[in-house]
Amino acid sequence: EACAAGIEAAINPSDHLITAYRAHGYTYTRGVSVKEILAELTGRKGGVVKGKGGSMHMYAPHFYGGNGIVGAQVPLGAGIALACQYQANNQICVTLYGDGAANQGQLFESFNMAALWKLPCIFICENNKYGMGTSVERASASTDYYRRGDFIPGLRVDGMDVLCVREAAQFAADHCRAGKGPIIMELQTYRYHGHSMSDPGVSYRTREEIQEVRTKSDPISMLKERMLGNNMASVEEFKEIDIEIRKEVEEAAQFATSDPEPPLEELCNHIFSNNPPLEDEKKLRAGDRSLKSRQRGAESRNNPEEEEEEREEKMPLAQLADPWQKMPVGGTAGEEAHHDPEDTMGDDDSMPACTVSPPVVLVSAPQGCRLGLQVLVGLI
Amino acid sequence: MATSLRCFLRSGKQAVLVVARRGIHRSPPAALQVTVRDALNQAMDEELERDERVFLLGEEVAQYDGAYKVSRGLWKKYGDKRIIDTPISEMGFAGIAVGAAMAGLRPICEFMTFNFSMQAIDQVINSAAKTYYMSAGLQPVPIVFRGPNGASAGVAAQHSQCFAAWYAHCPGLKVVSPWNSEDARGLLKSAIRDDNPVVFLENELLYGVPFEMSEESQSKDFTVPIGKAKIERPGTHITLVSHSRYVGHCLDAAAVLAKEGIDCEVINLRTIRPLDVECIESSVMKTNHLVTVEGGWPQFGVGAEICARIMEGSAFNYLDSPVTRVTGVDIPMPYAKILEEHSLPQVKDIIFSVKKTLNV
Repeated sequence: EACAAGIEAAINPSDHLITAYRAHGYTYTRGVSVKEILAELTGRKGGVVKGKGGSMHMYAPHFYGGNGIVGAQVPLGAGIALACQYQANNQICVTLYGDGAANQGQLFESFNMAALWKLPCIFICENNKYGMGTSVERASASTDYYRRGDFIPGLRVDGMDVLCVREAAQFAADHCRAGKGPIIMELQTYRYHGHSMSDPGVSYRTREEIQEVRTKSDPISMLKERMLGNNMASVEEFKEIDIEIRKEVEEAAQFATSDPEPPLEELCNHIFSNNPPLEDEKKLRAGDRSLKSRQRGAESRNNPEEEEEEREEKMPLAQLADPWQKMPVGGTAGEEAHHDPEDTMGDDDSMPACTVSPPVVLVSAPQGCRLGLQVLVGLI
Repeated sequence: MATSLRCFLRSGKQAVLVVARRGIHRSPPAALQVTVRDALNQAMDEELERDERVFLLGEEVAQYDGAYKVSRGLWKKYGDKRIIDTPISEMGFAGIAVGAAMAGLRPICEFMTFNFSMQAIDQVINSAAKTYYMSAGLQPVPIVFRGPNGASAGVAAQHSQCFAAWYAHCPGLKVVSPWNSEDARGLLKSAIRDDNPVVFLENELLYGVPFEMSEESQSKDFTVPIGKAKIERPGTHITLVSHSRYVGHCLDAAAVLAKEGIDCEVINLRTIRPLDVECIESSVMKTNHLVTVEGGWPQFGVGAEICARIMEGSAFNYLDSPVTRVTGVDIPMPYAKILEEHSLPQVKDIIFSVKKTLNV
């Protein structure tokens, strides 16, 4: 949890994020309700993508899934960063992958192009020590994932400490926005459960290991203790938060089990994005949300008459098609960082004194790359 | 990938051509001869000018002017931002192009040949084609993947495969295969303006071939609709259906057969997916005989699909004989010239098939 919450706290809603299939937390932090997420998991029409995507394919404004082919999302993320650079909108893209996918070749192709073209992309490796059932030692010749970008600077971050994640992500975001090119973060985290519903998760690791992490490094417990120890909240307040959340999730679960499944008419919808292409371009610019395809059947029809109307018109960059119609294109740099809804303290600019051991941030910087290490020292 | 060898082999295949480049001060154009290469170049130039979101990326597209010179002059005109040279990283840059399309741009992703697209095919299918469906319409992917497809000359097995059937198999993609300059120009414009992933299969041997282009087809907003076939030559005795280079072969065969009193109707598919079945069906209902011609391998190919669709529809009852498929030989492409020539459909193969189908 610390990864998703910490990252979202450090970026703006107008920034972009893409990850692999372990995406439910990110779907939530990017703005989708618990109700829509659970209903998507149960394949109902009230799901965020009407039950057509499922667990691995949820989408939201400036959140590009949910991708099933691990590693494929990394070039996609670099491409989103290219679009940010192209449009000069001061937005960045956070591109996540796991320790397993860290060995995919297309990552290194993306690192190369991102560094060549100085794309504003934060590549984040969520290292939870296991790719399915294969531990990192058995999968990677080098388990220093923050260093695998070679010529791209990397940070190793305690991914169980939400404040550490937030600070590191803030640093990385600033780095990208300053035009310095891509940066890598390795978040050292853990996965309590098995890989999926069909994996008990104990054939390749010990129960003791899981227990140890749960008791010593759980992100929510750690944050709670820190806040209690520094008198930032009381036990009662936490109880109230728990009750509220429990209620929300209960209602969402109710909805997810009672909402009807998508109608069969939806089967062949959403193959193609338009009827006459230019007609829909006009609608997109006019902010028509009903552009979501009402297509019946698999074929799209082209309408040459409508195209003639657009004869001399140029498409200015400022009116980029935003299929979501929620996010302003070109968010300002001064936007407030998105506050984690669980943070009941409001402003917390000052780093509280820690009662748990300080987070460790290791840096890998290629020669000649000045990162402003003073900033990093301040974190520790 | 090995560009130098191919460039060497490519030389001298086509005669010197009279090519008219479009300038600013032209008087209303009459019909003129334009090569397929120039038609593609002009189409991209005009679309780049029309919409700032359009950009081109691929290997050698910028400073080299394009591996086959299709993007000649574009980098000089539009610069580094819009015409991007990539390293040899098909999977990487195809993914980057798809990501850019998701985030609001309209990329043209060039594969030096579609053989190299196999490296990136996951991005084309799983990231581009399926996303609109998986997101229930929330995330369109307006991208064009283009490049030469199918056999060239003397480039051997790994550089000569036809991918029409592979891509046309997948829902969520549009697959087009132009033949002449008018097709190339109109379909590329349609593809770029389309909000969906389009696989645009060109043919290297056609790049240098000039075709007459009508006045209407030179307009900046001339588009050819995706999904509609064209009857290049009307006829009454038999229907020949083809795409890309072999449309020309069919027309040549039709000319020879006309002297023997056999009147062929030649259909240029233009689009492989969605297939214009109505056009083929109404033609078959008129002529009662059908021969399909393609450069790809026979199994599970374009001709196979046409046969299945005809069999499933009303035109089946009008067939007087089974459909014949003329295809590439079911082998990896050999290198030696004589072997290569005999592994692809020739005009005489089409003539032979027509006569066999008509039982003459």
